[in-house]
Amino acid sequence: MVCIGSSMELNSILERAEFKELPSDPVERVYRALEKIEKNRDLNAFVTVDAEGAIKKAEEIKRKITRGEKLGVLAGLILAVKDNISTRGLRTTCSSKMLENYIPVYDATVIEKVKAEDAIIIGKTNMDEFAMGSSTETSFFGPTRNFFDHSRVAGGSSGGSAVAVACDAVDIALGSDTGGSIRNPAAFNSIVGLKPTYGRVSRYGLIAYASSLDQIGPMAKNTLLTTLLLQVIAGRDLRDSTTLNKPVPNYIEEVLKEKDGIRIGVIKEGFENVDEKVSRKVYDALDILQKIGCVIEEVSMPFMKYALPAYYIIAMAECSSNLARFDGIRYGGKPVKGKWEEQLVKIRTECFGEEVKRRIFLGTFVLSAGYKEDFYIKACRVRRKIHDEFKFLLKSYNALATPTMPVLPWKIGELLSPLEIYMMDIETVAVNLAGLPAISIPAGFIGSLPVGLQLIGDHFDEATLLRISYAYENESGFNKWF
Amino acid sequence: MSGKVAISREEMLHYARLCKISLSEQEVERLLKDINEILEYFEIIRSLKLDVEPMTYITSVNEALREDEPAETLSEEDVFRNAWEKEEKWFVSGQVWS
Repeated sequence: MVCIGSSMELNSILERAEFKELPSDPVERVYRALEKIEKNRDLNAFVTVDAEGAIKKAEEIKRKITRGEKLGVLAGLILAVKDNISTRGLRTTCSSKMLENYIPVYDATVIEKVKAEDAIIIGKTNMDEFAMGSSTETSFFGPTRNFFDHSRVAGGSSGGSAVAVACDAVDIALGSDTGGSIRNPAAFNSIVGLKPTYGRVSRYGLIAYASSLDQIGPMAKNTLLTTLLLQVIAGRDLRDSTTLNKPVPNYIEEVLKEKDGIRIGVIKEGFENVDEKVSRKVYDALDILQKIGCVIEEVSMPFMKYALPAYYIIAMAECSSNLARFDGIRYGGKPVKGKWEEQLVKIRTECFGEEVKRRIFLGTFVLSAGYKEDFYIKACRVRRKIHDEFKFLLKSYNALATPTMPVLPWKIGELLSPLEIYMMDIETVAVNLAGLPAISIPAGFIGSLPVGLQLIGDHFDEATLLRISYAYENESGFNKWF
Repeated sequence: MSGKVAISREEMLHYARLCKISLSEQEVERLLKDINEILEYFEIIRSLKLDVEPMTYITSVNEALREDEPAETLSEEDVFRNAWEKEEKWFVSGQVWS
């Protein structure tokens, strides 16, 4: 069990989180969540809704309450899970035809943890196919729509999780972030999304896209619920050898600490090629941080401009290797007669979408003899430079700031070329290359469309990011914006 | 480093074979255009001269090892649950050698 203090303390935490109804009747809460999902069906946030499983879990919690048994720290909270995180007995598709009927036979470590803390899993959320995309438009099940403007993209790839939170169907959600996939849809739907440090949260059971970059993280409407979910999922896992054996702090305690004297470096290059209106909104948010006692200074990261191409080369290389496992024989695909190689080609050709094929193809190319040194190895050298630049700046600053997204949510189908869509990740990918934690917090609206502020912290210092987010939330009141 | 890298139609089909993906005529045309556009964008990396060691992973391998202890694993039923076809304790696939 996660220890965050007494249940009295938890109640006060949840009150602080503006979570008004404590889990007195979790079953009632599940029915309300199901109504919300139904009402917002056109947003296409969910691939699979598990009404039966959710009601069963809620009844179990209700019994615990009646008997006076100890409840988990997430008791009664409704949780949505991105559809690339394995859930035992519950279909997990990665929003791909390849896994349309795949039912995992084990739970991801994060799922074991949230279940042990009595979260109620209501369903699996839509995403870009195999998390390859920035708008949830590449899903086999169709795009998820932006909560604030249904003709626009939700962001991605964790678009379904972000919209499930924004439309109030769920209290908390799990996403995954390989190059911005938690932060991007969080910004586009005015919620909080945290990408933890690489190695902070187990990825056992996360269906891999690019293993040196992938990370599972929490999403919610406010800082405290985000923090609570991080508290539950963080920590060493022997089944994921990239998780580190570092103690997990009491994040709630950390978040409530004083924030005086926090130094934030504003990355100059992060404001190049950004919509001017978006920049202004982000600077306004930084003004609020200054007002509440943060020191704000401009800094420079000359190698930031190389992050995007380096990221795509590395991510594609890793994806071409990771997706080689999809042969349609042990799981996934479809029944095909013929020789093994014919089966393999037919299944992969028919069951992978265009963007996935493009990335497998380019990944194979950049790793092939004659090109590996020029592309993949050089991208890995750029990765070290970016890592070192971040580490140098984080010696003098507690956090670094940029806009989360360079533009406002675009119209569904508006960006036609793959390269145009890749460019949307310009602010977020450097963080994954360096394995750092980063958070997107709501920075306000331009018309009806939301803008996000990205804060980047040092390795394993999620607490500082959450502390800044909480202070900013109290000052700006973003948790009450909608 | 020689001039810009661009993929020809023949190379495209070669790499498609390596990826075990077949492409229709239309797909070849469309992908060729997209991929050469993306490769042109990647030139900015290719043209860099850096004397630092490549970084492939953030975490150190030293932390990766654990004790080799026996633990429960998947049941036979679970292992085959998602397969289209099985025979006794084997997955069934098409003939590998012709």
